[in-house]
Amino acid sequence: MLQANNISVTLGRASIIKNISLMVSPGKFLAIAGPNGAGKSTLMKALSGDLSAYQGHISINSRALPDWRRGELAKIRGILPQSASLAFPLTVHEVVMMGRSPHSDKRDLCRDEWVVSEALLACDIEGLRNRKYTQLSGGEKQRVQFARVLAQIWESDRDQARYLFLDEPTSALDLAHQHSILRIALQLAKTKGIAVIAILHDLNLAAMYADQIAMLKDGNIVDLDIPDKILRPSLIEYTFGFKVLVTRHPQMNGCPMVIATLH
Amino acid sequence: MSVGRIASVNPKNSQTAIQRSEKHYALGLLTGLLIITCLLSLGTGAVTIEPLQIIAILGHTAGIDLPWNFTPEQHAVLTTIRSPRLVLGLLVGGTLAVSGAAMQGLFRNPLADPGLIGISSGAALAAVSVIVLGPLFLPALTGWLGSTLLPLAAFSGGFAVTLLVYRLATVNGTVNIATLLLAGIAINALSGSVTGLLVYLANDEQLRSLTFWSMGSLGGVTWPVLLSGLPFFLLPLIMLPMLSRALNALLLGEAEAGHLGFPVETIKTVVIILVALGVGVSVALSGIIGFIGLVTPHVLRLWLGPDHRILVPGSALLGATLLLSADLLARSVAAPAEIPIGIITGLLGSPFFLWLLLRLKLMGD
Repeated sequence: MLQANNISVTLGRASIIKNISLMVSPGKFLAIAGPNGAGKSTLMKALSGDLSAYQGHISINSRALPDWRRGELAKIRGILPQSASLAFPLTVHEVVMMGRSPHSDKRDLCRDEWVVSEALLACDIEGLRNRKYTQLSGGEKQRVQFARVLAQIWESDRDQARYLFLDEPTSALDLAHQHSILRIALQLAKTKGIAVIAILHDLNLAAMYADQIAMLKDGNIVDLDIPDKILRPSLIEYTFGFKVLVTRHPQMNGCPMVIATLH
Repeated sequence: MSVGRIASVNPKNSQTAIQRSEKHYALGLLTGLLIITCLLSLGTGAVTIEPLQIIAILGHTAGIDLPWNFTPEQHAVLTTIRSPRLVLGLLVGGTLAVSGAAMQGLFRNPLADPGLIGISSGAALAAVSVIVLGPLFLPALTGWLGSTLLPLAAFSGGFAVTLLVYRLATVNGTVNIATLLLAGIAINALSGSVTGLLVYLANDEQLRSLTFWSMGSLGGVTWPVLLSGLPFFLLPLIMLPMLSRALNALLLGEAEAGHLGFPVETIKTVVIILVALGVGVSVALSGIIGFIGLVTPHVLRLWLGPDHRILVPGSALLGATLLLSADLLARSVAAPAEIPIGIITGLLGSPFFLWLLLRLKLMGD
């Protein structure tokens, strides 16, 4: 379980996030939403161990975050960056295999190959295995990076809960691939018990995939609840300063859908 | 289901195994190429020595008598002149190429080269300052540190420049390559001007050393000088290949390498120190020799891909081969006169660099 109590981050004199508390259990999908500059990325950096200059207490699997060694943490939590700049022509296989490097203390090449194949399969990019990364399209690159992160946390290290952080994973992707990445993440949460924490700009994507949404504004949590409770016109208008209508997804019972109003 | 999975994975495994053995085969090929170049380099010159005679002389030195005859003159030339020169060439070529490969990995840019970004000229500036100003200001120190003062000064100069350009070019954790190259230009220009100034202050003997610094040469090295520099060469040559996996991860980006559990800051510092050591001692013993660090990893990357586990050891082998070939060219083109080796590598390396820029431009657009 990941627990954060009263997390604050100040950069210089500006306070970026203020007294945020939240909790993510294994197998749950938490979406972080909110306007630009609300502190979403900073919150994610603090939770994932990227940012050590925070006040408050964060613990992962009942151990305080600063007590985790970098190498141990790498075995149980993967982070998909917003965009990755890899300018060298590594093959897709080589890039995904890098996800296995935290596990090199008990190196098992056959096992690693198997995990890489599974991760490629899960991301539907087996066909790209021997292609050069630099020659891929933006969407393909993002899926290769996703496969790399999946290979990193594919298997549990001593039965510990695992965490998948996604930083606006869909921003470079077309409609079909946006859904496919989130569907894979949700599937991993349900089948492998991986906890997913994703920054999502698209509220409808958050509504369809997340168990809970944390809505941020000006460094504070406006509300943290199931999508149905968060995606209300009044709360969205308060958070974004923008009027919306909320209707229901025609196929998914109870799933709210956010539509912009005419001005 | 699991059986089916394993069966479907196995052919790919063997395919990867083939690729891997192909790469090791490449390392074998590079070693062979290097050995041939070594024999050519040892045998060519005013006194010709056949490969078999070389083996006989080496055997004789080791106390084994082999059935091939050689003259005492050949023996003397080989052991006192050509062997130290060869070893210096091996060490400098290998170290420069390995340093280039590591820098390109660290900066995540194929244009990073110890020469282009000013590390070599920083090292040379420090060395030149010691040569000219040392006897004036630090006579006691010069005497006390003796032959290690020069490599030490060159290392400090190289280290300071590496640190400076890295700080200048890093914005929010990513390296800005334009700033990096501009910083290199500024440092090269500064080094050139200060060296010019020192030329006015220098006496005749010092002037000859200065010419040597600015154009590079493998000649005139002796075993004791070589031995004093040996640890500085061996540290980067041995340790940089050990950092290959971390360098691979760094290609993904610093944050991503950190997420994979690599201690990124420590690795960066270690790589910078090792490169400054290697480039510093290379400059101290052979002057500025450009482009080996740029060209070698490039050629190998085109052939074997960017995996540092092959690239770094391969660069050591190919860098040594290239430098020995350039040295061979330098002393045989206008024999008995000798062209400074830095001129040869510059003549061959600059067009390569331009071609590289053109290629990157075409790929970028």
